[in-house]
Amino acid sequence: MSMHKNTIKKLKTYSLTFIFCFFISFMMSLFLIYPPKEYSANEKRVLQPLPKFTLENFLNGSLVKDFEKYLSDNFAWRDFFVGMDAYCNLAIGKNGSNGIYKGKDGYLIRKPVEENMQNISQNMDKLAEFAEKTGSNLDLIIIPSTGFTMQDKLPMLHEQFTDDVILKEVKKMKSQKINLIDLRDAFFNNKGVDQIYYKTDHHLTSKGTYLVYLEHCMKKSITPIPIKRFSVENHENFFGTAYSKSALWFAKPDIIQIFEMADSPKFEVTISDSDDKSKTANTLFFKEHLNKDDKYPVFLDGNHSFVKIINPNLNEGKLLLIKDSFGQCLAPFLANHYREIDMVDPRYYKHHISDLLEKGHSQDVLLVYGLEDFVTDLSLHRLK
Amino acid sequence: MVFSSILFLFLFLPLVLFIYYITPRKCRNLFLFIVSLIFYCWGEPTYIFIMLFSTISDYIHGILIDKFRKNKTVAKALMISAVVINLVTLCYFKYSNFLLSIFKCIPAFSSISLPQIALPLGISFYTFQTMSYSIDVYRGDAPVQKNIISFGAFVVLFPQLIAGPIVRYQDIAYQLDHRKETLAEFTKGIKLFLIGLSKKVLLANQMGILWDTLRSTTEKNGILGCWIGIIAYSMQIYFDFSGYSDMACGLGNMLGFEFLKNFNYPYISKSLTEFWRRWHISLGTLFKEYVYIPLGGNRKGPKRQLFNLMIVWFLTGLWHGANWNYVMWGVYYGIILIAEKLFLIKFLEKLPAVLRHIYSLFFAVTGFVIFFFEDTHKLVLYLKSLFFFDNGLISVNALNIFLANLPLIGISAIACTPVMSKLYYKVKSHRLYWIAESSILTILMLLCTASLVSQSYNPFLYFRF
Repeated sequence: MSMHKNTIKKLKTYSLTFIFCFFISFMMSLFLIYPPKEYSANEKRVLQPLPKFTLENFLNGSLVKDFEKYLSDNFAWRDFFVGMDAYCNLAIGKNGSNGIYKGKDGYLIRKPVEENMQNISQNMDKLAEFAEKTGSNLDLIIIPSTGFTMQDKLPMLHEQFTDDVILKEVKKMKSQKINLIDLRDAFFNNKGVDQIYYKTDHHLTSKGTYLVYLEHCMKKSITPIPIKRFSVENHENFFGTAYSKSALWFAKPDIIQIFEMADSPKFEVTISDSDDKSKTANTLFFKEHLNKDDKYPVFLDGNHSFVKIINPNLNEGKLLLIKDSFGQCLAPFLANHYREIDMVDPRYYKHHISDLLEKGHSQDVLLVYGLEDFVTDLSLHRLK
Repeated sequence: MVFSSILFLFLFLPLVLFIYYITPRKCRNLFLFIVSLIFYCWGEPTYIFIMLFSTISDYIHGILIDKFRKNKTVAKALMISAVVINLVTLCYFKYSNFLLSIFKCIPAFSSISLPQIALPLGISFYTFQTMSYSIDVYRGDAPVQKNIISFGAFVVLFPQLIAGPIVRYQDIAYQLDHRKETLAEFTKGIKLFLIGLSKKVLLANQMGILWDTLRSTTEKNGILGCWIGIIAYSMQIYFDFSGYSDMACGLGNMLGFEFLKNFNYPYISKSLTEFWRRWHISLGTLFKEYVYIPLGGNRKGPKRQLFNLMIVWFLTGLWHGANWNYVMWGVYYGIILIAEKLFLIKFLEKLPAVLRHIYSLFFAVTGFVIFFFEDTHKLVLYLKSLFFFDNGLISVNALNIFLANLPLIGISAIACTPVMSKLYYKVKSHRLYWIAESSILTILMLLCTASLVSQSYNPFLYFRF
């Protein structure tokens, strides 16, 4: 009897010791047992491989850094712990701890970018220089951020979205050759009717992109194709980048829509990467991506440095489309009005972009950038 | 290697604990010596020799001082030699840039180029420890250590190696060779370690993020926003440092050592004299025992005492870093503490306790502004934004950030006081108390793990190329 009592007393006194020792050694064993992973679907990045020991990388500290990264990349049940941290932060009132706000109606909204006027003015200078040098008319579309347009979906406590200030500044800085297409009114008028942005991704939905297309058509006096002429395909279970970043794993997925015309022309698409390897296709929609974790690349196969789209039904019209990832969804609409679209992503394209323009011809140039990229990304210096 | 990392928690620690306890007792110091060197090497492979040099130097000095104890002059000379070697090492690696940059201000020397010397990890801690050993042996306060492994283990002992507490040899001399590891001590160590880890990971890191966010918009925050920022920093530095000390003491317990307490709720002080009795106690003790008292302390008249105090505070400031702001910070405390000694304490004692708390917190927090900014221009700018209404009361953004962090600030504020500790002792005798204790600490352990794993979570926004 007394021995039994003694055991219970010990159990009480040392329960934590047992839990602690078990936990640290158990997590260590899991790490040693599980084979290292190469790629994380949630983070969309290649994980750190086991670094090789050399005296040099030991002494310069890179071995230490890489090894610690390897260890945390391969920590067992990583997604569980990351999600736990995200939900705990949310519970304690720190909405937005991973850079993403959990908004109303399932919206996961990126925190506002820091307004960096120096970057903006540098980008605007490059654009002006480019328009001047090539003699082309440059249309500029800057897509407002989700948090700005969908202000009513933001959580109660959030940092201010300064898209208005930034766009005002852009308007002030732009040269005469640049024509800014302002989307704000169109977005505000339609946001009650259609879902303009994805809930789990920072991109525009196909409906939202159609609004951009309408605005562009209006500015260029093109007759847009009415929305009824498209047949809409719905694909479920789309978890975007905001979802991955937030680690709020219980969020509900989006539906990704594809607007395709029944009598769509047989496009000739050539896709090249920065290493100059290229492939061809006859469609603007790469549906094999719909079965993968990342579904947004269904539009023109995701980010590539250069894509050429030929519409064989038309005889004329050429557009240089300079874009970030927002452009992939817009290009399929525009492809109905130009015989040739050169779509280039300055973040990956390594050659001079002005070489894509035919000398002596005035040509349409359209630049489509999300506001966040326009403020933070400086690869527009490639506009030479 | 830092304690609050996945590498330490889930690879180094389990392996070290396991091997330590299967190692025979007489080999444990050797084992600790080796793993501590690995621990140090991990972050600082090149400078390990300086630490070993300092260890060997004081080991030899200790033996020689003991041998020539009867010859006072020789013993004293040896003690001075040990001190000089340590101070020269410290000065060369920590202060040469700073000293040369002062020389540079003299026109004749303006052409000297500053050498690029990186600060060896933990040098301010281990040089003081080895130095205190030689002095203790000279004074007869500690026995000489003839076993180089035991002495080496004392210097490089990984729990306290990088950020203290500064363990004096006389405090653990006996434990080095005669400690008894027990399960009760081990359990106590785990509790302390988990509390320290939580302070660091769950509070200090979060307060750090808040401070960084508010600091980046100093000129827009408004006066309240800036105060919230510096209060967040004051909490960050306290939780960071005291959390580290708790972890060190906890790890010490797990290995059978007992280190002295380094922090004792400094933010509940009613005067700054009290604040420094509660903040970084091991450093205060060191300066008192090895600088203030040898200089004569208060035994040589009030004028000399004030001079001694000023020297101590100048050096305390300088010890924290090789830059003017640390010196200023030390002198700032020197002035306040002298004022308290002369008249302020008597005046303060007449005030209600609330006002005395406000007084202490105000000067401690303001002091941390001086402590933080190495760039004088930024320092002045921040001080200005704390005391002038140029930018309004509080900006919308600062208010939102504050409100989102309010629960955490509340928890942090409570954690700065002994409330939880008092509650702990009150319920300790309850029948079911052990369930509450174990589950709370287990939850904290899981939360720390989640937070550490989350720090490395870094989704790439664009498709990989």
